[in-house]
Amino acid sequence: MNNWVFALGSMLVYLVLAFVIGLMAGRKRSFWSVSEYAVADRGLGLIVIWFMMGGTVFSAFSFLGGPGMAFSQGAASYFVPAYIALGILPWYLLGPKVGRIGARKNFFTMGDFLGDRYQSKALTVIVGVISVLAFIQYLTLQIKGMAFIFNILTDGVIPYWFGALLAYGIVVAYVATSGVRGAAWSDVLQGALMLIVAWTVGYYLVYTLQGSPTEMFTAIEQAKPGFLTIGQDGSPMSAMAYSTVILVSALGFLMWPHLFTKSYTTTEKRIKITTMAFPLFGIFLVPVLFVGFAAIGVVAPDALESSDEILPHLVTNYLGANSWLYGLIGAGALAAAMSSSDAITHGGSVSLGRDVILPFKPDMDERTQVWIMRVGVVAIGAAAYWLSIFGAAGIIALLVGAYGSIAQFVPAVYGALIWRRGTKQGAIAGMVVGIGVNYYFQIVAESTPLDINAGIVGLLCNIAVFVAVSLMTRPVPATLANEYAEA
Amino acid sequence: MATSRQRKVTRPYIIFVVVMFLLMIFPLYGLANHVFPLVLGLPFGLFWVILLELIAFCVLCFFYRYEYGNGGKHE
Repeated sequence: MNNWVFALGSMLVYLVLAFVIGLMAGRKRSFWSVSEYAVADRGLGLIVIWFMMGGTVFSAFSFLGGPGMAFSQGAASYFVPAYIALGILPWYLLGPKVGRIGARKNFFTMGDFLGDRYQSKALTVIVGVISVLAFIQYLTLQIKGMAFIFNILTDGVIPYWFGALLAYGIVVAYVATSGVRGAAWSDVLQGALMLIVAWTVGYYLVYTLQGSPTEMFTAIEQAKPGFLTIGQDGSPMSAMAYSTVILVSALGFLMWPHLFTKSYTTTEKRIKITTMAFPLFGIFLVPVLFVGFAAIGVVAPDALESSDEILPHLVTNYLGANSWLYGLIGAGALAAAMSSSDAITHGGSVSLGRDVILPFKPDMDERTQVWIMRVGVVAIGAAAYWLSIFGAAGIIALLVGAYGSIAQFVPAVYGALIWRRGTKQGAIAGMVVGIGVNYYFQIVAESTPLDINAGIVGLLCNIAVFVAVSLMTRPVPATLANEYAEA
Repeated sequence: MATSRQRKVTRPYIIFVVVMFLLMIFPLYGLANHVFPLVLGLPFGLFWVILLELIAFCVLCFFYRYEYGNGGKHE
């Protein structure tokens, strides 16, 4: 049998499974409840929540960007397991607090949380708009990944637009019907599949192409001294850039609304167990990096258009005979991209309905809200699909900037919980300045001072403005501030 | 409302998180910023990251046991 037939077959089997599980998850649940759609009535189980948090991290990045980064930038790629382990740690304290406040006040989003603490609808809308834009960017990356995998593994039989439509269409269908439960249960399947595939493929490639990990890294160090370290001659990244990218990614991690709102979906105990087991996901990522390292010295860097293509390139050029591996990689890579897409599409639809549209029409009934969110899934899905297939340079710059701006929520969110004096004006001004600075350094400027990550520069300005403006403006009522600080 | 054990862990937990952050970034990461010795086939810099993840997992288990183990508040 041809490899591509095998790959196509296993991808289709996987897609059908994901679709069925996603649809089944929402059965016998209240279709018209915002609470069920957005946060599964605050009752998701442990395994589900763990895979859901993990699945959203293992995106298309783990089969395309991650190996590409190891291949082209060496030690700089260590930042990925590093920030994943660090990023979750604050959740142990933050999650239960946010969950308690959310349950008491019936919150579903980060916009609800910030809007209530700072008594500002404007803040809710700002957070909502930035989140939706960032989500679309994130989705665009995933959809491109799915389309690419489909296209290349089927030898071009499935065109780019159709692969994306098929894989992402299924995500949209089960998220729109089953809400967060659909996303969560399909993540269990996707997460398990992805882990198996990553380990099998990572080690298989290392042993086939390079002998063993020890031989591989020794050979890389000889061929490219400095490539496997940071901030030395021949290193891909400076010490400052490496440290600050870890900082901004780790701090920003929980600010992604789809992760932040998971605090509302489950119990305190489960939040803590999830945090506990989460650093292990960082370890699971190691074979993903192995894929990229295994290609060094085997594939010439100029053989690829983009380093993200390294895994498909290895598969199609060096593993021609093994159809099983072909199929596995196809299904695994799709699973990785889809498990992020579902949570993000879902998060985007809730943010859109709750944070962007509801503030303008606060008397909306629950049925209408649920409708808007379900339609929002399709709208966000269509926008992301359109952008990933046709692109549009101007919009893409906007989205990339929004993506980088998520970390700018940090001062307002942590401020809400630890600093009673933080005010609406302070939070908004800080966020606006932070986002502006981040945009400037990320998109306009050529480089940043001292090679510090653009997000960290933005964050420093953000904090300074947040504190200064808060101290100059009138505080929120003490009972409200205390409620958040002592939750 | 948080239980008394939860309040007690807050400060040690914050210290733990800060230490973890510091060990992952420069200047402290500089201690691990070498290729050799390879451990379990991994360059030392990568092994360091993995090691810290295992340590984080173990420390979190201790925190969890303290809060929910014997004598702690059960859900």
